[in-house]
Amino acid sequence: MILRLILKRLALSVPLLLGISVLTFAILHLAPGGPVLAQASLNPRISPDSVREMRQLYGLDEPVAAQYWKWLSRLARFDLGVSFKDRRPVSARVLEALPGTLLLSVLGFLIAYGVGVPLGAWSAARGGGALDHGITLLSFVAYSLPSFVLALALQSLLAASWGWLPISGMLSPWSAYQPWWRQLPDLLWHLVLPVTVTAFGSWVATAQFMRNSLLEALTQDYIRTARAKGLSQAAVLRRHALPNALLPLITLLGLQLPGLIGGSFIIESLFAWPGMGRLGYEAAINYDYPVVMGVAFMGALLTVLGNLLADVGYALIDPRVRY
Amino acid sequence: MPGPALSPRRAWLARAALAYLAALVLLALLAPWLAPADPASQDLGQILRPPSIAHWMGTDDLGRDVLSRMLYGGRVSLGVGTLAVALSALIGIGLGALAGGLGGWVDALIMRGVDVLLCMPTLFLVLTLIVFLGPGIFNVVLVIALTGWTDMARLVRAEILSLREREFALAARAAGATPLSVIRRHLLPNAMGPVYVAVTFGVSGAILMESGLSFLGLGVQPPTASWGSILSAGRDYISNGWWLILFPSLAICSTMLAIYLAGDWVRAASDPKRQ
Repeated sequence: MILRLILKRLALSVPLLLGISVLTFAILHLAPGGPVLAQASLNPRISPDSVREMRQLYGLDEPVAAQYWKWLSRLARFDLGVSFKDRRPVSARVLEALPGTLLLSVLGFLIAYGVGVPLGAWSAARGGGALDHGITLLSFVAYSLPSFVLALALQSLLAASWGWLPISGMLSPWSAYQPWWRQLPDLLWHLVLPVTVTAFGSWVATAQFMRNSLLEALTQDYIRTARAKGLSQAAVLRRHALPNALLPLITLLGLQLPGLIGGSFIIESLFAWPGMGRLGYEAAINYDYPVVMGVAFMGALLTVLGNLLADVGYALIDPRVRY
Repeated sequence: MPGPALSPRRAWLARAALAYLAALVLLALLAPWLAPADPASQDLGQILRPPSIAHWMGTDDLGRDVLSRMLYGGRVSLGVGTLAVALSALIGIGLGALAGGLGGWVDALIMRGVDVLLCMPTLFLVLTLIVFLGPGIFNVVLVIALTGWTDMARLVRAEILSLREREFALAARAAGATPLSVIRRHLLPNAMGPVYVAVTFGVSGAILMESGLSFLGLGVQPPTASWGSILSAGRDYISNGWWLILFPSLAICSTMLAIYLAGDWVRAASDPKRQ
């Protein structure tokens, strides 16, 4: 049953992946060697060599249909060319940057949900009061505080001025050649600031979403039935309202995922965190086109995969969706 | 993304926010007359000076007057934000109305395109486009507009779908109006309420994106200032140049907050259920 559903969702993501290949193909044509060659020749940061290489790599001298076919077959093999900078395959560089990004986003996500869901549920169950106002106020703050401002503020206060936490990086220089069990505390220490910034953007939204979802669930008929048969408030909440209120959170996850991955650009480059975001950023400022394209493609793949998992998770938890 | 709603008691907050935004726009427009110095003129004898009588917001790493740069930077930040949202609203409303109003393969094509765009993390897409197009103010506007229209299109499409079978639309069709003119003259005008809200919130999103891009060095190029690029210069001086971080941060955050409050007011005003 579930297997059929997974296959069905997989089939649905094929047109999406094709769409992504068309979109990235279109973007390629904006590049030097493409139709805007004149512009590139004016840009001193792009060497004639890289223009020639772009032409060859993406087959830009061939007819458009042949170019697209070449691009598609390359993507299917995850062959994204070699980096202009160090001549290594782009796929290898992207894959080795992936764990760093996943570590940061998964931890940030877990903390955002771990803090946001209980807070939102509590504030809905209590109905109004200081916590409710607090969450509203905080959501104003979260809305108007961009991640790079928050990151800079935390870096300059907690790290640079008071020296409580490391400013950036993944490990201290001293721990580079230590065994993993001595590196772990150092890694966690370095994770505090970037994970805080990653989680900050989404935990307030999660709390608010959870609050509204639970408030909505509490107005349903089955809650009245549960109360009518004499269940305590706690039992009504735990057994009837919460499970139903938690379901839409899976949808929220799918919606937040691109933002979480996209945010890694700014957070990783600010905290010098070795991940896809920083790889993409460094490639961007050096006009390392194949790497930029590889990172963008991987970001899209991760989003499609995440949505797929969210769909399947939804079906596993909610029997109504299974069909 | 719209969040909490303000209670009507807090209407004064929305008014204060609108007044603040108006003041910001005025400051930006009058920058050439208000700025104490040329925002690009360097004074290498006055590098990284903290705020003083001569330089209210201090000087940056090239001895430029930060206040003047903030005023001129406001022109860029607010201007790029507004222009980009105007463009993306145009695209989004147009495509959304076509998708909702015509249905069929037009709808399918446009909405599948939206699905694909939504798969790309926005910042990845924006950065990739910028790298391939090259940085600069014009390209920043273009890229933000090209990547930001999907929400608007979905919104307009949903509104139009809900209006399409209503009596006035049927009447217009029965009277022989062409599909396009039904969309333009009858459906779209009635679908605009939520669009105003989305546009207002969209401006803050676009300002945020511009400052993010300029912060990363891929937005406006030196010597042009924007709030994001001033903040970006502060990155290297987090321990000895707090004013390079504080003032642009305050400008960005307060603008976002003011737009949020104003947007909430627009939402209340355009929603008859809340009046």
